[in-house]
Amino acid sequence: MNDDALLAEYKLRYHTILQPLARKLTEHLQGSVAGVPRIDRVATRAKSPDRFMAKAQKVLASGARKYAEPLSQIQDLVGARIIVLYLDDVEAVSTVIDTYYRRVELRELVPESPNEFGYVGKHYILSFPEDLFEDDADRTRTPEFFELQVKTLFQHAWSEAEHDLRYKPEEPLTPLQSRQMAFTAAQAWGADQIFQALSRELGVATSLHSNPDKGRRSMPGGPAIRTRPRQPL
Amino acid sequence: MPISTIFSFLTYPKKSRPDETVVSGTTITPDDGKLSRMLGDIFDAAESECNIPVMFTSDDAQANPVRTELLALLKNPSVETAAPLASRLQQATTGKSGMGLLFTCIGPEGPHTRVVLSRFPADEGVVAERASNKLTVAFVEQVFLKSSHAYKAVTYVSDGTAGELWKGHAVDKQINHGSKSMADYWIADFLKSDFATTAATGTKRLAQALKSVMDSSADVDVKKEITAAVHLAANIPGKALTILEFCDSFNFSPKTRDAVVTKVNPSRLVNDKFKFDHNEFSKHIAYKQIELDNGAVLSAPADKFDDCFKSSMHRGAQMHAAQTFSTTGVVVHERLKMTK
Repeated sequence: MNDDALLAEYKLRYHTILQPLARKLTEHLQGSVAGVPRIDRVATRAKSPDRFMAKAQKVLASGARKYAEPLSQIQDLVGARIIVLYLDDVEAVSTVIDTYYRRVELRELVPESPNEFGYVGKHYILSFPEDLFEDDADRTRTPEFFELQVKTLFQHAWSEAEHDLRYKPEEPLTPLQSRQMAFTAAQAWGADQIFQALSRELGVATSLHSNPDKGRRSMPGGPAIRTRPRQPL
Repeated sequence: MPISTIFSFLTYPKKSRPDETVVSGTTITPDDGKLSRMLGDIFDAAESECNIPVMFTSDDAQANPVRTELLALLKNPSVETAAPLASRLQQATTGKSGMGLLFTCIGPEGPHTRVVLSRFPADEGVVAERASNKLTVAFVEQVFLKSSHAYKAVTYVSDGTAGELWKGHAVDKQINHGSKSMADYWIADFLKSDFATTAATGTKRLAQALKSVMDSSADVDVKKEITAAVHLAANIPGKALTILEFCDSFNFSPKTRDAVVTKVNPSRLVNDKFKFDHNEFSKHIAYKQIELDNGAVLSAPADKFDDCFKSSMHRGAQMHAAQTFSTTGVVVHERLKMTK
């Protein structure tokens, strides 16, 4: 399949399969984490055709395409993110995810060295629940897996800004800019640590976990669980 | 579709002796003989007969040893590439399951390739030959299939794409033969797999269907049957079942069964197997009950309790304040119970 045919096929799937699937997945994830306190939001997205093609056309050092079969090899055609307040909440959500979904991959992404600060997050590759596929769905075109990221607000905020800054300029970041980026990551990491300690000291985590109804936290201007469309996950 | 390749292995129970991995295997050329016809029937019926969705478990890095062996077999079908699966089966088999014959059948499935693994319990035996005036008894050093209808099988369809073969479909045709349950022996121990649907997801789906019928049905008999089943469901001990099997196990009337089935969306999932999880069930179909010091007991679905009963606190009281509860509705059922 050449790139034009690949793009045409992906666009068809994007509009007729992936976007509706992402919407259904949002509802399914919301239902699954409904009793978990301090969920800031559940967001899903279907990978846009532009981003899909950019990923599909990635090449290895050898010059060969990284993905021989991008439609089946790229596993985040549908991506989801669950944002929580505290680090302990990441674990609470992870427990729920393991209860309701079958996973084939789990990665705890942290900087390689303890002296570095950078991207932090928990990434899953999960099997789509059968409930999301109608009886007459063309299963040869539906993805089998989706990616789920579970993050704190600070991890999420840092990764969004970092993604925006790091990949937009045509020139790579200077050493100072990279150091500044690491500094902001350190601040986000530190904020998570302090909030985790405070939530434990103040008994917030314990008291709210034991009473899920009381623990449901309404964010200003929105319901306890908010969704919003977004592209980069 | 005809089978193109058959490999067969005689496997012994070696769970307690995992180091002994030797299995004897052979290639069987498909022909018009009884064995080929029997395996052909199983192969052809695999799509409908193997009706339990299963999924390989993962080491969290997208790897599963059985899936790896299956992919190697499909890439280059031979006795040698099929042997690791036979060794694996041997190492998962206890003395209770005993000796078995494993058949690995491969053939086309439209543009794709189907593989069916089936295990038949086998035995060695003593043959007694009765002549007119004498009886000859001898140990037969041959292996017999105990029954051509009692077997376990699993099937996968390969489309050759990356990341394929995570899911397949299994069946146990010897479920009542006293062997270890299929989930433990065939699916978990041998295939390193699990039901594709988690216990929590399947149970939640069931509970929500029952609850949906309770909320929407005006038929008192239907509600009574479901209420009784919900109370008795506590006695289902982590059993693998489908929603239809749940309905049948509580002898639901046809109208109640139909009412439940219509609430399952998509409808094929009424046949989806999962392990019943009582805690999950209670979470979604729980009744909140409070008892007052005057002997009254108020009960309603947990998520609707505050809608059913309006309460008001008596002025001035702080601790253990008296409350007034009120509710309005039409009496649809009344009963006397010995307990709360």
